[in-house]
Amino acid sequence: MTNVDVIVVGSGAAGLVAAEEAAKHGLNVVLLTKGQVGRSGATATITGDISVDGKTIRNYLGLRGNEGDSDRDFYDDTMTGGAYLNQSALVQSMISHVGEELKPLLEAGLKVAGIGHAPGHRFPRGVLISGMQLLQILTRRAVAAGARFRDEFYVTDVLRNADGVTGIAGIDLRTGEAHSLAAKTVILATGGSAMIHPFRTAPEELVGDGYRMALRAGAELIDMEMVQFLPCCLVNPPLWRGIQFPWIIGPQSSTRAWLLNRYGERFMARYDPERMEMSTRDKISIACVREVQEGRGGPGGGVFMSWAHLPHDILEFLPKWYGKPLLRETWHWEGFDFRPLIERIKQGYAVEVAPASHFNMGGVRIDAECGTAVPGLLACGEIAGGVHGANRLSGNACSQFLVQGRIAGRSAAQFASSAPMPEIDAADWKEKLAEVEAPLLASDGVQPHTLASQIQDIANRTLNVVRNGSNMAQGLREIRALRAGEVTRMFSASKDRRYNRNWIDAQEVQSAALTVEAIAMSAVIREESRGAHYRDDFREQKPEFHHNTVVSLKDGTLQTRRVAVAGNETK
Amino acid sequence: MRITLVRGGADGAEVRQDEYEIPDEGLASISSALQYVARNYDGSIGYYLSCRRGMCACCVVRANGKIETACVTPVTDGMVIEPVKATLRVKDTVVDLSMARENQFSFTAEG
Repeated sequence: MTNVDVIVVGSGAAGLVAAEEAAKHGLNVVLLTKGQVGRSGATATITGDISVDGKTIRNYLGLRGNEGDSDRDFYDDTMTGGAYLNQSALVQSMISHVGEELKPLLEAGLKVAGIGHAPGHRFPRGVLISGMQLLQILTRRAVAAGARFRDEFYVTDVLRNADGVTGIAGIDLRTGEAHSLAAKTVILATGGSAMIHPFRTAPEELVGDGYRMALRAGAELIDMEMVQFLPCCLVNPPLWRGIQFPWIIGPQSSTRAWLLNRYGERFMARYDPERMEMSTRDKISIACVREVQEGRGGPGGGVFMSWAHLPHDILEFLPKWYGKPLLRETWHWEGFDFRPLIERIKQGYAVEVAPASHFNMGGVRIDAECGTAVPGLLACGEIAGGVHGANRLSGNACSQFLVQGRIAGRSAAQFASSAPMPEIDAADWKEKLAEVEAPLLASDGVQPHTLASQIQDIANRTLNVVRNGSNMAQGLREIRALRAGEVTRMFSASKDRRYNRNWIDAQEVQSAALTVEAIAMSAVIREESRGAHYRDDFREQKPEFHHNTVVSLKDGTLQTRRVAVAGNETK
Repeated sequence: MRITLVRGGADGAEVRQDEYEIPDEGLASISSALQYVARNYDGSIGYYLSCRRGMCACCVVRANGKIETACVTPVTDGMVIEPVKATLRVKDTVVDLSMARENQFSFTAEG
């Protein structure tokens, strides 16, 4: 039976940095991804920023940073943005190490398109880069360090025994064969769960796989109620749905576009009169959804964004100011040709926009070394919770994955160099294998993709930007009924094992369903509004809720409890 | 509208052309069309969809003979969709585009 020292699950930036670091210590490292190395995961969708404090940008990176800024200011903004639920040690580690992670990347040729100043940061801290270029550099480095890879291998379970991690189980999507692989340590870097919502910015594969694996292995989740929505994403046409281009040519680039309701009112005056459209993501999302709920929205379920009060020149110069090559003068942005949209905007038309599910602040509960409650199990990047508290500031996701990827790789290497090679428990593997293959062996039942849509519908109705107790209780009842019923009866109509979408959907539904239940359980007990968690039955933040919510899985049942926020002052 | 999908090819399986009727919902992507067909007609269709914004290029196909990123290219009536390169084909339109193809770990060779 083969075994390796370190298995990394996920090929976004966090996983690649972790694999590189662990391999540099001379260990046998394998990175497994259900997507394709160098392309999959949310990193690929970044045409955005890595947050670094202005002084470090200027003095250490040699770029145009503001010397008036400091790591203390960056820390304070991150904590304020997170409504003080952030784990202080994780924030400090992210802020103090991001510069040293970014410098070698710049030396390796990572292009900087400019320094952005996004809402919530008091200084410009956003080193603008392309996620695809970042992935290319990180892949090259991990390959050079000696890590090995397996694309299109869907890790469905972390295997363990009484002492801790023993390896993983999963499906080789190309052959359709299930395999196990023994390892001393497993690093989860599988990203978040934006796909539980029908309207989202993140890639298809982010369904919460890592949350399910971590819970089932015995690790805990933290702050799962904190889900970030990115405001001002396109509602129509279907080709552009969920794309945040209006946000980019609006608040993200500090361009003063106006948010209007159907009466043409600049409604942010009611929600954040001082910062208006330059408010933080959470507040803008809440305002947009409340306008719609209260009957002042547009025909597509959104609100209007308008640049009509600005002279055309300001829009025309934007690509120059915001930074080539991310925003091009031809108005090609990411893979889209937005010339038709820009032409419409210049003619004075507004664009209908709505918030889209974007990022999970919550996730696997880790310590400062990226360790979990399970010996040998680590987590890094978006899947790891706690650093952003109740709301993440722009650019901090990239700072997180670079720093935590490094720490996780190092911790795994330390653990693996002293730990004995574990043996996979045969009963554990047999049980997981039977679960994984059940939908393929079943001759009839429920089509997995119909459940995926039902789960999205539950999340959309009950765990959206504006929440309330009775709605969430209803959502919780529905998701529990689904998990106890239809989810156990999924079947793959196609019996072809190779790259079988039905079968893949069935695994993803398991992840999404458990994730939605964990989010609902965490959200329903937080009877206040804080950061991204906004309830119309408890609109104020309450001091007695200055705690973190922790979820665990005991005997097949999810449990929640409150824990004191580690190491930061009460607010 | 109707689309034609060039299918098969995994492990030397026969290559064939299948035609499917899909609803016209305004400006929609080739990826939406493939997802619609897989969900409503034949779950065994292999297609790739990840970022939905033309960045990762995992979904790349050949549409009417041209190499296109399926998630950001509008589907049109009568479109013929095939894998971008037959030699990279995993199944149907799914192709191997890994950036770490030289350093692959094999489950079967080692365990």
